[in-house]
Amino acid sequence: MQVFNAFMKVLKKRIGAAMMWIVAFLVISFIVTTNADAGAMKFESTKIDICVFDEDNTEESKALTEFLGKKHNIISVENNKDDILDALYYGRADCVMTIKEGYGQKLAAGDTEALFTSYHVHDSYEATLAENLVDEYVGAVNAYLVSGEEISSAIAKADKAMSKEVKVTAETFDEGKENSSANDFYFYFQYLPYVFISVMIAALCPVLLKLNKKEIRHRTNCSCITARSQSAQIILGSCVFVLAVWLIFIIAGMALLGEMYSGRWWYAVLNSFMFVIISAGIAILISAFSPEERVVNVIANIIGLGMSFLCGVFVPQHLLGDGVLNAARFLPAFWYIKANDMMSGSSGEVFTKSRFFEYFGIQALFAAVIFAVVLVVMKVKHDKAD
Amino acid sequence: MFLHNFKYEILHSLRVKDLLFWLILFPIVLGTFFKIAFNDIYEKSEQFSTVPIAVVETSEDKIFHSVMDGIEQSDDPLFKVTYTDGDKALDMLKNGKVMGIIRIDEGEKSLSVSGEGIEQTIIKSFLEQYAVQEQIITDAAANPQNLESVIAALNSEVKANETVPLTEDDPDPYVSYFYNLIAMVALFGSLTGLHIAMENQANLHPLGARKNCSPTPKLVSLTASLLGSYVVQAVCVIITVSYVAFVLKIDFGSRLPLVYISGILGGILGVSMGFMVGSFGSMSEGAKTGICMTVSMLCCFFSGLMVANMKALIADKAPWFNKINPAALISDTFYCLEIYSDYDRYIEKNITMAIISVIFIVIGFLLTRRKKYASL
Repeated sequence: MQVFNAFMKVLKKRIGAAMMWIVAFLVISFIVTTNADAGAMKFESTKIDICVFDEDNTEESKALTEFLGKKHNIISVENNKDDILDALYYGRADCVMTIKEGYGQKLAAGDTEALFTSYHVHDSYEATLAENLVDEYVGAVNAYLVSGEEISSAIAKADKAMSKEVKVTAETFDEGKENSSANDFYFYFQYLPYVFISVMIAALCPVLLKLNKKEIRHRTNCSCITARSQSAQIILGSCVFVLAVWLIFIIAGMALLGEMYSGRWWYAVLNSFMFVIISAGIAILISAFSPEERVVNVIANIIGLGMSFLCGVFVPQHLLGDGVLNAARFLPAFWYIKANDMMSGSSGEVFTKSRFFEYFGIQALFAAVIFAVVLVVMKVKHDKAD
Repeated sequence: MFLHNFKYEILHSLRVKDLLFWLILFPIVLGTFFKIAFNDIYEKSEQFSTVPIAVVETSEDKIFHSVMDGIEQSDDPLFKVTYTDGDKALDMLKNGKVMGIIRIDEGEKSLSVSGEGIEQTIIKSFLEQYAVQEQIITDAAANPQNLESVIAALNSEVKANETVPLTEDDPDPYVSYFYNLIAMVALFGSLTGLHIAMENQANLHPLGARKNCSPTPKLVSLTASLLGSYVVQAVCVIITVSYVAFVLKIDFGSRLPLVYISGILGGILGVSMGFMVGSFGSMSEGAKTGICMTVSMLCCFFSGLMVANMKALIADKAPWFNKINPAALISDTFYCLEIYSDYDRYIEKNITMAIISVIFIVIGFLLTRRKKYASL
C-alpha cells in the first residue's frame, strides 16, 4: 500500500487548500439554499413585488395601495430614476408605479384614462399582471359608480368583489408523495454538481499531479508494483478523500436545514453520491493528462461552470432551449439534475423509483466510462515510461 | 533598467503558455456555453406568449364559452383553449401540454394546475376577473335601469396606465452573466499578479533570489513587472470583450470603447489583487493560487455569475459589499454603460476600482520592501 500511503501524505499537506475550497462552497450552498424561494414549490398564486408611489395621497389612492398590498407584496424603492432602474433591472421589483395626483377626483368623475404611470425595463408577465390588475380595479370601481353607487361604497364593493378567490386544485399526479416541508433540500442538492466538480478538480487534482510527477512516477514504475495496482491504490486513496468530502456536504446539508433527510430525499443523497464519484473520475482523468498545477483551477472553473450552465444547475432545465438540452444529455450533470427536479416535482415529472434508478444508472454508466478511460490513459502512460 | 525589466516581464508572461492559453480559452469556452444556454431562454421566460389551457364543461355556460372564443380570436390571444373531457384534460396537464384546466360545473368555475408559475397565475387572474364582472352585473341588477350602462362600462377598455420605458432599448437580463464572465477573466489576472510577488521573493522562487542580488532597486523591478503584467492582462481582457461583443454578438450598447477601458481597469485590479496576495507570508504558490481563485470565485458568485439575482440580494442585505466587491464593480461599469445615459455612476465605479487597485499595490509594496535574507 505504498502508493496509497504516499497519496495520504501528499493529501495531508494539501488539506488546507482543499478545506478552503470546501468552506467557500459551503458558504455558496448556504447562501443559495437559505435565500431560495421555497414557496415557489407550493401552489399559491404568484405574488409579485410592486412599488407604489402615491402622489395623490387621498382616501381613494390609499384604498388602492391597500388593495394591491392584499394581493401582492408592496416593497419600497427610493423615488428616483436610478434606484427605480436598479430595482427593476435586478428583479427586486416587478413593477414600479405612480398613482398620479388627482387620481381620486378623476376616478370619482368616471375618468379612467392615465391615472397611473408605470416604469418598465423589459416586457414581462409580472408587469403585465400588475398593469391588468389596476386596470381591472379601476374598471370595477367605475362600473359600480355607473350603477349608482357613491365613490366610497363603489371602492368598497369593488374591493370585495375582487378579493374573491377562485378555487384552485393542485394536481400532483404523484403517488405516495410525502408532504415534506423539506423542499429546501432541493436547492441544496441542485447546486451540488457545481460544488463537487469544482472541489474535486481543485483539491484532488494537485495531489494526483504530485504523484504523477515524472521523478515520482519513474521511481514507482521501476518498483515491483504493477500499473494496475498503482492505479487501484490511487483510486482507493481518491475514494477515501471523495467519501470524506461527500460526507461533509451531506452532514452540512442536514445541519444547514436543521432536519434529517426523509423519504425521497434519501434518493437525493444517493444521487449526490453517484455524482461525487463522477466528479472524482473527472478530476482523476484531468490529472492523468498532467496539466500544470497553476492551470488546474482555471480548468476546474471551465468544467464546473460550463457543465452547470448547460445542464441546468444554475438555470432550470425547463428554461433551456431544446438544442442545449439535447447536447446536455451527453453530460452526467444533466441526469443528476433531471433526477433532482423529479424529486422536487419542479419539472412536472412524476417521481417513480424506477425512473430514478434509470437516471441513476445512466450516471453510473458515465462513471464507468470515465474510470475506464482513466485506466487506459494511466496504462498508456505507464507503458510509455517503460 | 526599467525598460529591460518591463520587456522581460512581458516575454516571461508570454512564455507561460499554458496559463495564457487557459486564461484566453476560459472566457471563449464559457462565453460560448452561456450563449448556447441563454439563446432561447429570454424568449421562454421573459417575453409574453399565449398560455395553453384546457376547458372541461360539465355543465353548459354559453356566456363563458363565447368569452373564451372571443379571446382566442383576438390578434394577440391570451389563451389557446382546448375543450375536452376531464380525463384527457388531466392527461394533457400531466404531460405539460396545457398549463391549467378550467372546470365549469353548475356555473362554478374552478382551476386545476400542476405547478406554480406565472402562467397559472394568469389563468387564475383571468377567472377572478371574470368572476368580478359576474359579481358586478349581479349587484347592478338591483338597479336594472343602469344595467345597460354598467355593461357598457365593463366592456369599455380601461387604459389607466401610462408605461414609461426607462431605457432606450429592451435590455436582455441574461447579459449580466456575460458581464460577470468578463469580471471573472479580469480577476483571474490575480494569477499573473501572484507570480510577480512570488518571483521577487528570494525565499520563494529561484528567480527571486537572482533578482534580489541584482543592483536594480526593488521599486523599479517590481513596477516594471507590474506594468508588464498589466499589459498582458489587458490583452486577455481585450480578447475576451472582443469575442463576447463581435463573435457572440452580445450587445454592449453604443459605448463599446468604454467597455474595453473598464475591462482593462478590472484586469489591473485583478493583477494588483494577486500581487498583494502573493506578498503575504511564505505560503506555497499552490496555496496562494488557491486563495486567489477562491476569492475571485466568491466575488463573482456575489456579483451574480452563478445565480443572477445574487447582486440584488446583496444590494438588499449588505449594500456596502456591492460597492467594494471587485467583480460587482467591474460588471456594474458595463451595466452603467448599458442603462444610464450619463456617466456619473460609471465614473464612480471606475474610480472605486482604481482606488482599490492602488490600495492592493501599496500593501503589496509594503509587504515586500526591505526584505533581507541572511541565508536561503
